[in-house]
Amino acid sequence: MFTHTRTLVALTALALSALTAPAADAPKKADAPKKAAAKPTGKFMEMDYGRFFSASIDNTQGKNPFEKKGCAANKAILVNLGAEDAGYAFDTETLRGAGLWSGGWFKRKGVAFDGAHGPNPAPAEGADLFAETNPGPGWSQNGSFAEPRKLPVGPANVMSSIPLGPLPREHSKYVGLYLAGDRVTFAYTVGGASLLESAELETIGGVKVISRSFTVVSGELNESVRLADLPYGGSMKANGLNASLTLSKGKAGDELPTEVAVQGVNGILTTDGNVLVLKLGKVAAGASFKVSFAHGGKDVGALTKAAAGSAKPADLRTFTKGGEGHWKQDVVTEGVLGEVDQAKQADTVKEQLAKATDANKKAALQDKLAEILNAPYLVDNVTIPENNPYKSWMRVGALAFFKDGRIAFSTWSGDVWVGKVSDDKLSKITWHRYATGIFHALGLTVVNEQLYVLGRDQITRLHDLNGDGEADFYENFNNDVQVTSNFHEFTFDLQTDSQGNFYFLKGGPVNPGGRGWGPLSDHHGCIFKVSPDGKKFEVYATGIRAPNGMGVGPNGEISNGDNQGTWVPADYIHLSKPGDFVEVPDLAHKDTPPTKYGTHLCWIPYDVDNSNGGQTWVTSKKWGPFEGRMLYLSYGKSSLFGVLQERVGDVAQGGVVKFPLKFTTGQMRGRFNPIDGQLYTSGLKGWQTNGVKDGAIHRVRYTGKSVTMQESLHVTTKGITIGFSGALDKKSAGDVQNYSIEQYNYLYSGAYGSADYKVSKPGEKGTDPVAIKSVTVSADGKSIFLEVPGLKPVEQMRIKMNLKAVDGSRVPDEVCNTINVVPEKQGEDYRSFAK
Amino acid sequence: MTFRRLLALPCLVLLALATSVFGAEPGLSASFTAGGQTDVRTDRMLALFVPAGQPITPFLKAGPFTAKWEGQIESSIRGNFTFSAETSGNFKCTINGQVVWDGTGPKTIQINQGANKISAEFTSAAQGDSFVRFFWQSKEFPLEPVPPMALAHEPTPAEQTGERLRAGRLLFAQLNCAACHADAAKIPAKGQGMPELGQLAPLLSGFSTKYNPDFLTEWIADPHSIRPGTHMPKVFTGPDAAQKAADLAAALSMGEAPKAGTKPKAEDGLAGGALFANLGCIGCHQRPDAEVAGSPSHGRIPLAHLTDKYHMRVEALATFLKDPSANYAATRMPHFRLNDEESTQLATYLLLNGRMIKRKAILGDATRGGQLLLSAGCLNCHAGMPATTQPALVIVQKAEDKGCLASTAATRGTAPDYALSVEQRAALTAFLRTDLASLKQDVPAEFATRQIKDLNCIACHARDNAGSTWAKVDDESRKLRAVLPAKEHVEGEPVPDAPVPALTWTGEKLRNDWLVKFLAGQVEAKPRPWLIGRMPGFAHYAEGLALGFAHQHGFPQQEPAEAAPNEAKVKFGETLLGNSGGFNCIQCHGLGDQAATAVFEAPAINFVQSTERLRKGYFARWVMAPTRIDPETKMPKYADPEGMTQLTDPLDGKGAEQFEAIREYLRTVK
Repeated sequence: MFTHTRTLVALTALALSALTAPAADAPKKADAPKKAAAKPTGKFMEMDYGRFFSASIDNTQGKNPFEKKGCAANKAILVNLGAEDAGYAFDTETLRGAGLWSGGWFKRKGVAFDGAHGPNPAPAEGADLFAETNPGPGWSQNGSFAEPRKLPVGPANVMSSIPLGPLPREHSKYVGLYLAGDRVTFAYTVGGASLLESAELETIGGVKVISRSFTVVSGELNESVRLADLPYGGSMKANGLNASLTLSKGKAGDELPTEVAVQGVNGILTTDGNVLVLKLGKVAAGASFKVSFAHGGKDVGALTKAAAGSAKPADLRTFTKGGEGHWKQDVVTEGVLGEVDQAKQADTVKEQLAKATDANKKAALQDKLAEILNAPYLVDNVTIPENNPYKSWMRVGALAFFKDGRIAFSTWSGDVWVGKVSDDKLSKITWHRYATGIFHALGLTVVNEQLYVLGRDQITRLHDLNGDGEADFYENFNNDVQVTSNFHEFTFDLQTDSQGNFYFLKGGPVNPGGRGWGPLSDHHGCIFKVSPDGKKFEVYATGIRAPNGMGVGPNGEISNGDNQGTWVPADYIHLSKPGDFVEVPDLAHKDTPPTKYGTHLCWIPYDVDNSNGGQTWVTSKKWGPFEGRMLYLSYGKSSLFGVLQERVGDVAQGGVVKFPLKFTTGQMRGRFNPIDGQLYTSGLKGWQTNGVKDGAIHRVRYTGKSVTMQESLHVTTKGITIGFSGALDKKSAGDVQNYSIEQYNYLYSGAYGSADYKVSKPGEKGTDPVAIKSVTVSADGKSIFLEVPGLKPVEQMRIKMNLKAVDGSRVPDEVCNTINVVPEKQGEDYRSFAK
Repeated sequence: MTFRRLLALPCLVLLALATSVFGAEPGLSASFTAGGQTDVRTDRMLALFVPAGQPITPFLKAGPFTAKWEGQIESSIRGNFTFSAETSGNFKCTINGQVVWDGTGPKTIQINQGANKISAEFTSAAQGDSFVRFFWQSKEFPLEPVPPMALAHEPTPAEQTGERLRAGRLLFAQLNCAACHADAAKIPAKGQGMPELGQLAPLLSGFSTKYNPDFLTEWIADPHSIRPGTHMPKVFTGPDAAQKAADLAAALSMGEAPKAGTKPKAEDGLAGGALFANLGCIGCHQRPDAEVAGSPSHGRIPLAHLTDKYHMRVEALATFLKDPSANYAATRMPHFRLNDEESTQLATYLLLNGRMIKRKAILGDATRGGQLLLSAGCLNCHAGMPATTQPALVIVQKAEDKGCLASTAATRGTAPDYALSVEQRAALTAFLRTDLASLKQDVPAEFATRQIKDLNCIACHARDNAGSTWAKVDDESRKLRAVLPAKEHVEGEPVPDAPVPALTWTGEKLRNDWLVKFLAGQVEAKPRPWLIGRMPGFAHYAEGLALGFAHQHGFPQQEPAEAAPNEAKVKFGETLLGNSGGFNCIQCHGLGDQAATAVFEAPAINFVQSTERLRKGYFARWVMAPTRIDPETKMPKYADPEGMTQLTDPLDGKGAEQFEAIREYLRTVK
């Protein structure tokens, strides 16, 4: 049996609500406040999204693709026609013209806009549809529109009821999108033919006409294109290269006419009364043709005339060479160095010192002042173009570097920006908006000086064809990942290994309620690997929940973090091998669902990190003593952690230690700048975090001062050895009262997270203290041994320490770790460069 | 040994924590002196609040007093801690012999891992209320009252005596000794003195439509065999005791015949089982089928007898469940605001799963029973009739091992049998040796101590070091829920496994006026919409409990009056609450009618309730370090250990000031 938490079909749930709902009762007055129905306002309404926007979309009736009706699409690109006067939705999985409408561009609705859990963007509020098609192939294969894709594998009651992912490549394939001025042109293949398609808006005799134009670039096109369905009723009839539609929204008498005219091609419009198809004769390379839809009002004659009056089909190849830039205004910012905050902190402590009368208090403040002044790392603010003329919402999804040190970052709202930094002091950063319209751009990397951005729909390789600093070809590098319209199935991060393979993550379709899952695809909760040429896509590991970030080590170590929730008792770091199952059985995609989670490198207590970010390996020699070590970022706690790793045979185990640094936003991605060798981190505030800025990029700069932090951890049957990167003050380090250990386990269940459970009394909530018999400090003061006889594997251990470094720098006061195995002999202290 | 040589050796130091607290009890030993008398009790915190003119303990006279606390303060690690206090009167505290408070300002000292000796003295304020609140902070956590979990002590003989007297005093009240053994000089008039004194036992009305007469017979004959711990004594002894019980039952069962009820429905029983788990009934009561299921008792009250008692009359039990206090004002059973469907389901569950006893009935004579009702003294307790039985209180005070206080049936004679344990008897006897003057006065803090235990708050809530029974029996709850088909969780709906708030800080946290209403079951809007349970009403106890909670933490009933919200702060607060330039609190918290913008699982507590619920100081402390108070909270921590937030603007990033501004803004929102 497949283990899952969503066992119920809606009907049963309804029947039951009568039984169980009263438990929820208690007077309801303030329980359910009403939402004000005012016109939405906020940054998501002000932003200029450019000429197109990618999203899962609902249809004009608010229905998602699971309903199989109308223009709803899992991977749509919404084209802005006119000045947000009209829109065209193109489904890049099925190469389907999903819908054409006037009355505005698209509805800014959903988790990345107004934060709503559930709904997706859709045609503009009150959009007037000219035509729409139901989900399914947009083009025929050998004359048939039959669905070639299979349903996801798994029990019918939990899996998606509709086929997902792109059509087989031999059927048709999305190649990418060209942007030339305001013109958006899609490139794709149908069978052996390569096509361009572009929508445009004309006003002819006062009537709005939206056309789909096509140019065959190579091969011979000998198929049919689906033009319209009647999901909510209406009528259609076809006559040669003309057709008449009436479209209904489902209410009797609400039908409105659309007139269709085709020009420039040998073909025929056919309909069975419900579907309108343009059956093409053989169309040779170089040919262009056009299908025009006129709509608006009930004067059919005027519509017919307008449709017929559309301009002749253009050769769309003219739109594939780039065009005039859209974002001509650069935004210049000035960075803020960490010394500013350091001085402020020092001043505060000095003030307190001046006032302090208590000798002990004074001594403590003096230690504090020394810690501040001896900080080995400072956090600089690499000021992002928060105030930009395009009102682009700066929630930074990911960052990457070009070889010359230029920084690129992507945003949750779909942008990519590139910045040039004047000098080490960050005194001038010049930002340019490079790309727009990506579907939640939460992963970004640079390979061979080319930007690859991860959207929820695909990895897009960005090309600047005319060298004006803006992308004009958004190439579909790989779009094999399956997407459903669930609000929470984010894709995260984009990393490469030394062979050039790409990796990214996708979460499970968490229900709006937070528990259980929406309909599952084959790809929910997986780590993916994509070949360097983008052609091969594979599932690398399964069973992850909401993993906002991963890492790829110098030796190909693949890691991921996860976010507490269903089946995830607490955040963890996992190192996986191909085919591994990680944590969440509902997302295992295995014939036999696992009954225990994979062995994690470590768990992380909820109050230390409640929502993970990515992992970054220190690849720089200029960043203190940690080269080859793993770093872990926390989104929820806006923090940076060092990861202590040991390998005992095949088993990895270790823990995290927090850098005593402050960040202004949830920390998601980290990369080392190839020029200055410093760590740059980025993140956003989009869901729960203690971060306060919508987005930020920080530089974590090594000041050259000595560092005394925990850097290694070993357990044996005799006790625990912790290595430090600098020498400890032996008096404090040798005092056993300066250490305390507590431990506990988690409950692995489908509940949302877990409480702490005693090791001594399994099943009882609470933690256990662990007695430390003695402490021994090594001669160089760089390691301590805590004698703890009888250590046993435990999911969560917390080792607290109250230590001083000889240099006065701050020694972090806690290691949170996991013990998977307790060897007789100490395991290997793992650094990726160790071998 | 030189310092250098010391370092060269492994430091073999045994863990102080484990050894020092061996045998220790929670809290501190607290010794009070007033009017030349001394009284010792256990205090869970180093705090007190005594309104001017009131006694510090029920056993001491009102007026000037001194207090002394002794015990240990514990830390899991050696470190520097800064101690401070808020106090009227004169307060001095030392730890390991070092002065940490003498009124001259906060002091920082290093305290050891494990136990550290703490000693504190207080002299009441010359005028006005007397209070102490004692705080600590370290680099790991901001200023907070020293938590009960950090205090321990080894009880002294004097303290054990004091606690024994308290137990005896409570038994005297709860067993209603004065109902039979009257003494107008020693027992205060009704409604005065100790609140538990003279509480009426359940009214003896309407039995005919509710209870099975055969059950009643058995109950009267030997209540403790059915319900261990009941205050109801076994009244009749001798060879005709069973017949007397039957006669009395017959008399009580006279009246209207029961209505023909509807047959219990199996599906109601299943839903009722889930309610039994979800409402927390399971924290106080064993499942009706506990004997069959073999679940551990955890000291819970058995319910298997209900089926027999109510004779499968669902309506009768449902009516009781809807208002348990209807015939028994002082009942411990709270009011759950059940609707008809819920009460029917719960009653059905209880009756379908209990035991029905087949017995050979003894025919009772209602006329004889009617006489017994008066002569046996039933109405002394159940109707507040003047004492009809003997002897007088002064005699009882000297009775020692006789009558009700007898340890054997032989010495008990015809006196009622309360099934007292050895400790209970000792406590009652000890109390009776006092002048009983403590019955004429009470102290809210002690009332709360007694009633938190008696009302079994720990059944549902964790407090200090104690986990709740409800949490301990979670596997039982899961089984009861599992019989219903699983239900898809819908955003905003309650979830079964969310923890119920602990009561550790209640007195410091909640405003008295709100807490009284909440405890009485009169707050309409559920503050925590994600909890599957609901706080039931304890109307009879609400006022005293609420006040006692506050006094235990050193807080007065009313928060000091505040000036009108500061306009500049209000403005900052509004920004700080929002998404743009703020902490985006509104993402999870609704603000009156304005719903939270991006709820996950369930919306957090509506802000409108924050200011009406929370005391000012607690609000500040909570926002500064939420997980310090509740490790499981979803509320993020925005301030670093220095109290600075990431929002450098406004108010220079000073968390305390920013959070205060938020509170000022919230005060303007209704």
